[in-house]
Amino acid sequence: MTDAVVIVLREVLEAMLLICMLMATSTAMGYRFRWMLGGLALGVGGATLYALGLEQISMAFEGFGQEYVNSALLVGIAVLLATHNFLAVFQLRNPSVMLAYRTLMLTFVVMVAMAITREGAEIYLYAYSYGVLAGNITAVFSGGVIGLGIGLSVGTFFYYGLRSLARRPRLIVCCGVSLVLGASMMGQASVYLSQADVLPYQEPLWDSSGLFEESSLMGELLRATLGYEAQPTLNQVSLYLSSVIVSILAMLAAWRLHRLPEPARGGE
Amino acid sequence: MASIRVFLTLTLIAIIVLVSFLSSLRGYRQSMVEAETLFDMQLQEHAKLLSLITINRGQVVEGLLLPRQADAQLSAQSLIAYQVFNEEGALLLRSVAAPNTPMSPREVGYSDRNFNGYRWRVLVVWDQLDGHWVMVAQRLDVRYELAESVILEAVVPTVLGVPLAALLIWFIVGYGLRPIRQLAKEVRSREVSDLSPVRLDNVPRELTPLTVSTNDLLRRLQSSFNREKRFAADAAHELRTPISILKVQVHNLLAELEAPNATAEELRQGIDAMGHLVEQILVLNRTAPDQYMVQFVPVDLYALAQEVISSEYEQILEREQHFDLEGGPGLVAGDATALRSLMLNLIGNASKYSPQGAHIRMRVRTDRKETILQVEDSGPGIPESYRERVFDRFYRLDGDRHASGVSGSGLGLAIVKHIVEMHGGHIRLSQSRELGGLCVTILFKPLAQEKPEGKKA
Amino acid sequence: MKEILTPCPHLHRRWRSVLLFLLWSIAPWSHAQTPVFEIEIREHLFFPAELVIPANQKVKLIIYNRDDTPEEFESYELNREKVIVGNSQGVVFIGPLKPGEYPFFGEFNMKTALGKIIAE
Repeated sequence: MTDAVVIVLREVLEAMLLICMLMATSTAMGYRFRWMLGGLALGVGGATLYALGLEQISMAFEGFGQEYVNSALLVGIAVLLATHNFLAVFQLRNPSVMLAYRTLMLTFVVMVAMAITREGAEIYLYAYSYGVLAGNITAVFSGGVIGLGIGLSVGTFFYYGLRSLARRPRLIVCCGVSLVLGASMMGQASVYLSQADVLPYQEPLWDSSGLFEESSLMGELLRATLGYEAQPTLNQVSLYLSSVIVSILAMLAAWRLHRLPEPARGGE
Repeated sequence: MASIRVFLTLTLIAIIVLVSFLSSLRGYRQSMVEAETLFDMQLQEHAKLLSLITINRGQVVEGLLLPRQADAQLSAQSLIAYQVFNEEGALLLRSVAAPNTPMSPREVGYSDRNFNGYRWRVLVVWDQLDGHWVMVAQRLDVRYELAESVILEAVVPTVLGVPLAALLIWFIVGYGLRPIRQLAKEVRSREVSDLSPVRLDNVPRELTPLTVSTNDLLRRLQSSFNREKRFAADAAHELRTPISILKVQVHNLLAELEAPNATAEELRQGIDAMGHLVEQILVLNRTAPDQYMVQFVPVDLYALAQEVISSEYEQILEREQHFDLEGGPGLVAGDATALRSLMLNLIGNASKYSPQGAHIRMRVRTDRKETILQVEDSGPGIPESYRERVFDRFYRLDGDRHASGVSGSGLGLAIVKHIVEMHGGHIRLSQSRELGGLCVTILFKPLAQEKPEGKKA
Repeated sequence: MKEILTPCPHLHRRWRSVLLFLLWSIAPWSHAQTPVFEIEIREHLFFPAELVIPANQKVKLIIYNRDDTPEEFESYELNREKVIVGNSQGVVFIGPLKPGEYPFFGEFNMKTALGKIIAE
């Protein structure tokens, strides 16, 4: 049962952080949560397709289809998170401008859908194989509900915590969260890419498993929130940092865009 | 925080979920550790037993061996496998489920090993007395499943209970917030002119300051309203006498002048208009719904209409207008004076604002649900966008330069509305389908059918 | 993304360098001449549970899943994570590793599917 808790919690926590951050952003921008429905529906559909087609996907690209799809999803989310930061900073600079709804919707929907596709597929596979096929339904169900419950509860507090901030600080904090999430996604993507031998193998730069074991509760928590890795490689660290830099540059660009003659174009 | 109820429900559920799930998770882990220890002790018991059985080197004491049946049963369930080796490593004894090769290297203690296609918990004991290696193994997956199935029994109720708790929290929070909803409803649902204090049973302590200050505000508003109203009524009342005197004096003046004098005639008309205005103000104040304290009596609208028309027929004839009264008896509970005032205003308006030779139709009708009074004319009507505003006091279409060039007080429809509201009725303005002008429809609650004999007040 | 970023010239340069970096890292590595090792999953167990591979050399690891159920091959120490569908196989590259022990496990059956790679 603890395995089910850990697996479900890890995935749910990661998705919740993203979704709650986006929810807080959209309240700060004055939008409702209509994008969430589309994102969830697409995500669940995507996760099912991914899980069902996993065999075909795995066989593709010389057996590294999974790694490519996963890293594509992760990089996609990271790019969209940078877009999110761009839009958020633009909104901060031009509080009176209502951002183009469709752009925002599309960004959010696709982000949520991609995240849930990845996280959901893993939960689906685990629940189906260990729960349904192996007959441990009660254990997987209990563990899954516990993991889901804890994840949703943490997300609830996270959301209301963000909600308690005034609009401007809320947007700023959301940008920070998005920055870290994006970097963590890029870090994970680098692992998949080195697993598929796209990125070369490297010696770990350091080993902090003495401080936080990756399999420990704290380690899992840090992994889900900050993309913590006990033994990161140079690739991982540089992709992590490059994501941070891209995100910061996107925000600077949005900040500078303010001086352009037609600021409204930024939202298009 | 868009909704207090949603916020409270979600955060409360989240707290309950976190506390109960984390504690049951901890309980689960603790119990699993306990179970592990228990199973390990069981292995130790088996090892001890096997040591006892194989007292003599290499020679199994017959009769002390586990009964074949029991051995077979255990093996079939693959719960326990055992091996006994001598010092040199020769296999002396083994259970059916155990392999021929050693299950584990000869290292004393517990370890997890893979053999026979399963993962096993193996205990290796060195029996110094006899020089035997005793190895006892238990299938890990079976151990795990056994322990888990027992412990899950304790976890599942928590998991299933949380949705129930969530549902209860939703209702309890809703119930707890009911006074706020009631207060909001009480304030929202009241009539515009209703300034009576907000009354709620069992106002919670948190809401008391709000209701107290709301009521205080309402009271101040009410008293200033009353002052204003009394002032208007008093002023109108005080004006009556000087106006009557003026009327008499103008009459005298006209009599004294030999030749007809246009200026003096205009003066007379002006004074008449002023008198009419003052009377209207008085009617308006008298019929204000919150002012009116009168016992209603059954009134037949049809009979009343006939009476009013005969008194107003002069004006209608003067303007060469056609007047029809249709329908039949329409009994309502009401105040005859006020209703007469209502009809006078409606007929007066219809006649005044319709051109010469226009058509005016009044209709009284009763169906099961309501008594309907309808006045239609073939005049210019009122554009849709103005239909709300014409009920305002002193509001006149196109200001004072009315298209018809008629003077008026601007109080007529305000009075009509007051009277309708006083009787608990509804008024609707629309375009007359047949005559093309304004159509005023008033819906009254009909009088109960049991008292048809009460004809008129 | 592109449209939005056009106003800022820095990002163009940055993205180009990231792209170049990615291309540079893909190009020179060929998959030939790497030793191949195999692990089987049967009844949620790894066979062999202890796999010895040469140290300081990249190794191609093929994992056959003989069960009907999927399994996720995962290792914190090797930094690897891959789902292998039932009755199928998966490939991961590992190493070059320093001599030592690198435990791995099947995430979907953590109680039984345990093993380690020993680099010598």
